Amino acid sequence: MQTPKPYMNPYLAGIGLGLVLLAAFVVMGRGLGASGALSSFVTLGVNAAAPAHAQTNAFYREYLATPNGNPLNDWLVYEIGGVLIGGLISGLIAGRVGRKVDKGPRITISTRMVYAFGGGILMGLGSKMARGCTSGQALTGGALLSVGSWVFMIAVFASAYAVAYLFRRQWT
Amino acid sequence: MNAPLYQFGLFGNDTALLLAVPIGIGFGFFLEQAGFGSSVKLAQQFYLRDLTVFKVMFTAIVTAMLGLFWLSWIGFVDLSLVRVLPTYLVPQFAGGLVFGVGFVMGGYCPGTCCVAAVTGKMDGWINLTGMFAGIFLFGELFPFLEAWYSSTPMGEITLSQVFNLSQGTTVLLIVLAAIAGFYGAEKLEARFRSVGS
Amino acid sequence: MTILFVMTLNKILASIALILALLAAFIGIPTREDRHLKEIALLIETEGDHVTPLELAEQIYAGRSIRLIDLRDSLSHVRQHIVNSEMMSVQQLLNHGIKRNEMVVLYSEGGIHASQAWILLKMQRYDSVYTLLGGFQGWKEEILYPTLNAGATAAETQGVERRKMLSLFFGGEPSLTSQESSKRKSARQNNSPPKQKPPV
Repeated sequence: MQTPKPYMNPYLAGIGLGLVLLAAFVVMGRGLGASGALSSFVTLGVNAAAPAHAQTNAFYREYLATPNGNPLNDWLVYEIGGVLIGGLISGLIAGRVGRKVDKGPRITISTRMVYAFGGGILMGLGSKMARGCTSGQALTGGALLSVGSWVFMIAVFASAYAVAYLFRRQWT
Repeated sequence: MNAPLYQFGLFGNDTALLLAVPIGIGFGFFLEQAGFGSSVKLAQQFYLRDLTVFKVMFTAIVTAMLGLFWLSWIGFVDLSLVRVLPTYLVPQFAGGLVFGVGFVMGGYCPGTCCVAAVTGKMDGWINLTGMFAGIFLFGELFPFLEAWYSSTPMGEITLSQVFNLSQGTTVLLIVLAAIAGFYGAEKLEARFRSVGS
Repeated sequence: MTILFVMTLNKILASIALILALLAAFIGIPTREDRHLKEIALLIETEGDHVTPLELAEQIYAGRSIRLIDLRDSLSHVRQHIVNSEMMSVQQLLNHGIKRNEMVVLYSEGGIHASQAWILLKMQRYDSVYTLLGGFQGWKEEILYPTLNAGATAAETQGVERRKMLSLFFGGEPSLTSQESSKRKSARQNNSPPKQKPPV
């Protein structure tokens, strides 16, 4: 594998992200999102396995309420499809695509996987409690000066810093 | 005065879905370029060794915020049509706390784990699976959480309204805080780097 | 060398953000209401705020999709209204009753209510809203029950036939007057020719 190119200047990458967000505002009048699209996929699964169950649950019903009733017929689902393409393009250009487990040297792969899965569950829960994640709340709501989004952002950083010590062995 | 283009009826729902793809491509591209496809890089934020997450996030917020302000001022964007996310104070604060633990534990957030997964990070795939499980769990618990989920509603409220400042003044304060934060971040990184090596 | 370049680039970016933010704080609110009010005032002065009954009738007859909003009370609406118009209160109208990208024509009995609602909607940046000149009264006089003079020239006759056809199209009862009185009326009309307006 070739040596990966260095990452972009964080401020330039930030301006790039900000302009993409601005484009979403100008084109659609809405911001970006990620956890919303993941919820659509979960709803698709639940609806396929137990349609009656999905219909009676107000949470799934919201994601079923697309123009044609298919949860994947949603703006965020198409957007996250683009995210996958864009991430792959950037990774290929920079030589960063390749099968690997990202972790520090002091933990085993299986420990890292347990943490990754557990962290995923908490993020799924947290993002749904807060009606959005770092994309939908922090970035989008942050730029729109939404009070709840700034509260969410502060809570994320506060709790992450508070418990970071517990997970320090994972990374270095 | 003809943006947001979708609200002014320049195109329909199908075109909107197609336009989501290039916007998503830009989003994913810059996330990966910033280094957010790597959990090790992302997690360094919480050990103060690499503050890229803070820098990228706040630069993006400042850029979009200033852009919206000025596009509205020249009369291009009708701000009243860009919907401010409604605030539910307690669930959003609690959600942030849970999310923060998940962030430092898993090393990704929902958007970045997609980028990690597509560039071949196996922990990204597992993280994504965990997120599906978490959302499913929330969905199953939703009937019990519904009342709490809708508690402390404050409507589409903005920081300007809370602090009784004009939008421009709020924008200035955030930009000042961001620049001060960037300055501090650069100093902090330099110090941790010299201590570490 | 590279580090030096990055540092200066970052400083340039920070300076740009700072300048834009300082100007933003100076401006305060990014919506320039004064300019918007001027635009509305200009529309009123250039008579871009209304359509005449004849223009409206021609547009509907040509099949253009126009949303007609009847702002009168329900009793008047039930008794008689322009075909395909829907009744709405001013409050309903402001409460997202209509879309921004559809052509909307408001009418009330005489036109005052419609004009008031028109201003409220224009303040909220609804671009394609118009009032019906003369209101429902004007519609009745011009379209439903017009007094048409059998024209002297061929062109006049053609115009009258058109008016008659339109009136019947909307379920009206046009009445034709004799040659005598028509001459008197056309003479009077020549003194104040109907204002030409660009098509809506």
